[in-house]
Amino acid sequence: MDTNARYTITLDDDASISRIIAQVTGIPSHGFATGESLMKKAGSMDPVAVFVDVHLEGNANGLDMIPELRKIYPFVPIIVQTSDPKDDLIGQALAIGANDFIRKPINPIELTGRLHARIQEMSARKKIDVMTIGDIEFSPSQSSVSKNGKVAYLPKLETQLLAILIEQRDLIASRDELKQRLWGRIAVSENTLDRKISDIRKALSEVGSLCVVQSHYRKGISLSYIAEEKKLG
Amino acid sequence: MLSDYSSSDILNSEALQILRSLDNFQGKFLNELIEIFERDSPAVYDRLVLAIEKNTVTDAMRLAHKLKGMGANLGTERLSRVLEQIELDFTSFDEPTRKTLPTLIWDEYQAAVDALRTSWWAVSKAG
Repeated sequence: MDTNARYTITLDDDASISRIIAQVTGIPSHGFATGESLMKKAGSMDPVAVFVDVHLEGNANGLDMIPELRKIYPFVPIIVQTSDPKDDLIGQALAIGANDFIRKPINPIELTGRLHARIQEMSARKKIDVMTIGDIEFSPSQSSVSKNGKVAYLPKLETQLLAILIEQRDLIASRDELKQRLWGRIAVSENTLDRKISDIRKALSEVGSLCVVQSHYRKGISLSYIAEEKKLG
Repeated sequence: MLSDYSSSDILNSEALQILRSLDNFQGKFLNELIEIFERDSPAVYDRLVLAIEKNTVTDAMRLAHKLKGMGANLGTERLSRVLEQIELDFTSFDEPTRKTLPTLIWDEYQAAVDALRTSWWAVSKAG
């Protein structure tokens, strides 16, 4: 692994914290003093972990950033750091998406121990989450399909539909069955299902996948990987 | 009234030892942290004093917490103890006590910075 490319993010209005974290972990830490400055850059960053302080400049609360950070980094450990003696803050942080916490002043042994454990944990979670079919990787939790670095995101129902089609790969699922599984007892039109299928096709096309969603007249829908059919043919 | 803090050491030698060990006792990293503290903490101190003088309770407690945290990274034990009392008990202090706080904090702040500088110098000389 290229260690030069690895870094953490530290959200803390005390500049010394990102320096201490970098010195302890041995990898750089990009420091942000405010949640606003971090959120401007977060989408284009790929950290190995994010450290979030509770009390920020003014009356800002670092915990408010956690749900948004979790959306951007579903498999990156978010570790809350605090010198606040109140334990309820820690419970609150864990409840909204943080993975762990460290007390300040930072104890290097505690920091490295917790960081390594959380990185391993999130890495294992990521492996479980990603399903590979044909030439694409599908992540239900991220609602994404990807191929060779290209990523397309799907809305919630389309994600569920693709998961069903992958589960029944190459088998034809009836339209009634799909509607039942997506909407339960709510009656929806054929057009509604067709729009979802169209969105999935669009996403597969965007990433350049050879997986296709096929409509079978009076039978239903299936997902297959064309490259395999060509080989067999 | 503030509870007695004078028996505490100015610096927490264990915390300092940990920081020193992070760059194998060369002293550069400790010096960098002291410089960050000296650069950033006066502004926090000024705002804290203003909050105490104006009796803005929330700000006084929040800024005491912040300055405590900044110093605690460097093991400023006695300063942190004073600030923690302000953070937790500011509302219980009577008026005469509140008036003594700015000078008290400043004295402890200066003592901490002097001790840190002496400590760094000792590390550098040894290195």
